[in-house]
Amino acid sequence: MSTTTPNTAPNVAIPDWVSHPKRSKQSQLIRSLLLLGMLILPWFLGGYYIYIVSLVLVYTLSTLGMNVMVGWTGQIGLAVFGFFGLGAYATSILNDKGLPWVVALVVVGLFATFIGFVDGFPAVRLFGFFLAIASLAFGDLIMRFIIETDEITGGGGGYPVKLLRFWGANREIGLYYLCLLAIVLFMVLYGRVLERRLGRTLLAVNHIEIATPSMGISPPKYKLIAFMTSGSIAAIAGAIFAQLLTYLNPDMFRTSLLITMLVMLIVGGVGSLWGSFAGALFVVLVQEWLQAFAVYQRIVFGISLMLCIGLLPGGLASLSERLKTAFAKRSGRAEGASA
Amino acid sequence: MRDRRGNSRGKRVFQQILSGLEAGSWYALLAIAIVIVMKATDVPNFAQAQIGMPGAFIAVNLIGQGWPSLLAMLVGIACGFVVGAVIERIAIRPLSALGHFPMLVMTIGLTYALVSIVTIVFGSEPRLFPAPWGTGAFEFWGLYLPYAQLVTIGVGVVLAFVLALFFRTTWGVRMRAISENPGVSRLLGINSGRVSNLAWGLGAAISTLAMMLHTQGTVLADSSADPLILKAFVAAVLGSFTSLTGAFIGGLSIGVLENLTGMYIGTGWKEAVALVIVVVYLFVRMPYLVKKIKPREV
Repeated sequence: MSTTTPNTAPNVAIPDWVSHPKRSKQSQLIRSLLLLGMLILPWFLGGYYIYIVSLVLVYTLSTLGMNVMVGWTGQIGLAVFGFFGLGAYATSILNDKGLPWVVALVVVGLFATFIGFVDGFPAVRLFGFFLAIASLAFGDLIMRFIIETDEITGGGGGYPVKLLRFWGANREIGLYYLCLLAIVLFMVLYGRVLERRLGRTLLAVNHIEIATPSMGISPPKYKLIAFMTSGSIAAIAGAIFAQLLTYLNPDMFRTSLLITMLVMLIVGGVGSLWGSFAGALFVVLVQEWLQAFAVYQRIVFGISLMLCIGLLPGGLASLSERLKTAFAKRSGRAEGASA
Repeated sequence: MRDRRGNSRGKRVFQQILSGLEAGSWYALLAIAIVIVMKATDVPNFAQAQIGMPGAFIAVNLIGQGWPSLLAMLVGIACGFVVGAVIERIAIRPLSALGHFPMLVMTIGLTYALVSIVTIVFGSEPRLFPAPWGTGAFEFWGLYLPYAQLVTIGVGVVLAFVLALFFRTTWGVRMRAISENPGVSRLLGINSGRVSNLAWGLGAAISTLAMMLHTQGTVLADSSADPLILKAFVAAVLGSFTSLTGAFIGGLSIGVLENLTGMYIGTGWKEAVALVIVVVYLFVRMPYLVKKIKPREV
């Protein structure tokens, strides 16, 4: 290897709350209003649109999971698509075998945490590119396993998902609330854990890894925690995704899904909550608009990824900040000219 | 044990190894291209297989217009070189100041962009790629040696040899110097921009050749590049991303192991071989690959 150790960590701005941990009343109000708005949304939107919003929420959840690893600890772990597929398949199969869906979800979430440990244990000690390749191979290995055990999973032929019933309620609306619940639970976890000590430790591991051992922080341990967290979140997102899709095909969970996830992460903005949502929204909108044109979908994704990485490193989430500074600069200049 | 053709088990194993070496040569060539790019720009190029697509499509088109196959292939490889150099200039070099993660994501974006642009320009229907050496084969002691396989393996070996020599020339030494220590080599007056341009062009030309060898005699389609890239990466990992010899031997062994697995265990598991190899390899070699903290950084 070259003598310079490559710093592969993505350039992420350290979030506000590291220096200002107390949340302002204003932002709390915005959050509550937003939640209220999301709760009454089904009264205003038709079935198809509710399905789209649910899809956005599921993708947001998986991107948030990926963010815990890439955004917080700066590891380029690419196995997320495998965990997503694992969650989708395992939960549906366990549910089919008679386990209640929620129980299956919990079991699969724990199992994915364990698999995250297995994947992460060697991987967190690798740096940069080796980690990227090893995790990519691991994710593909999970999917390969699902394809090959075709007596259980249906292999390449696909697997029909046993649908959840919501006590007679409309299925689309029920699923929407399920997605919302998952996001809210993540936000609670975020507020209780990731915004507190653990989140700060993970950021320290990303930004000042060299200095962390002298503070009593073991970088591999915390990287491993990030691996396991993001694995289980991705699996849970996958389980809900399976309910939305109603029919699973292994080809949906291959490397193309990884690229879609990277688009959500990068276009939205690495390490940002709003960015995860913006990225997911972007991907779903493009997918729906260009449903019949796979080629154009790919070109939009490829080029938006390239443009964002080159021109807008903070993603869509940094757009408002950028506009604000640009505006401030311009008005400042105008004031200077008039004075 | 004799099969339909009346071949003994030994002969069947030989045939499997031969086609394994053929597939291994594609992986090895791509892995070499990955290592060359890695040496000069320090980025794993996830688009290394796809970067060979434009050149391969141009060659097929020229053959379709009645050009002699060999000439068309040479033109395709030259176009591949230009494509690689242009991509390095407009997409990769502006990012080199931003760190490695942006460049890595850029190459992932390139995989999509390249394939879709090729599909839009050349159409999405698969095209027949007639090989200049035809579809014939030697029959030798009851062994069946198709020309296509022999040519692929031969080209792979020759190219690896030529590249090993290339790294002893001035440009090759410059490239090695850049990968060894970018700062000092720049102080010594090496134009790192031009070196990385050359590396990307060279890598793309090799990828074009690998794509042609992969699709010759069969069809070239927009998905032709997809099955190659991961295995090429595994081969490059086996060479620790620095050793051309390691990458070449790694590629060949993956090809052979795959085919033997397909024969003894089941064709479905063939695809998993490379994945298992890389996971096991990284596990075993982990102590040598961990990031070493240099005292001066603390």
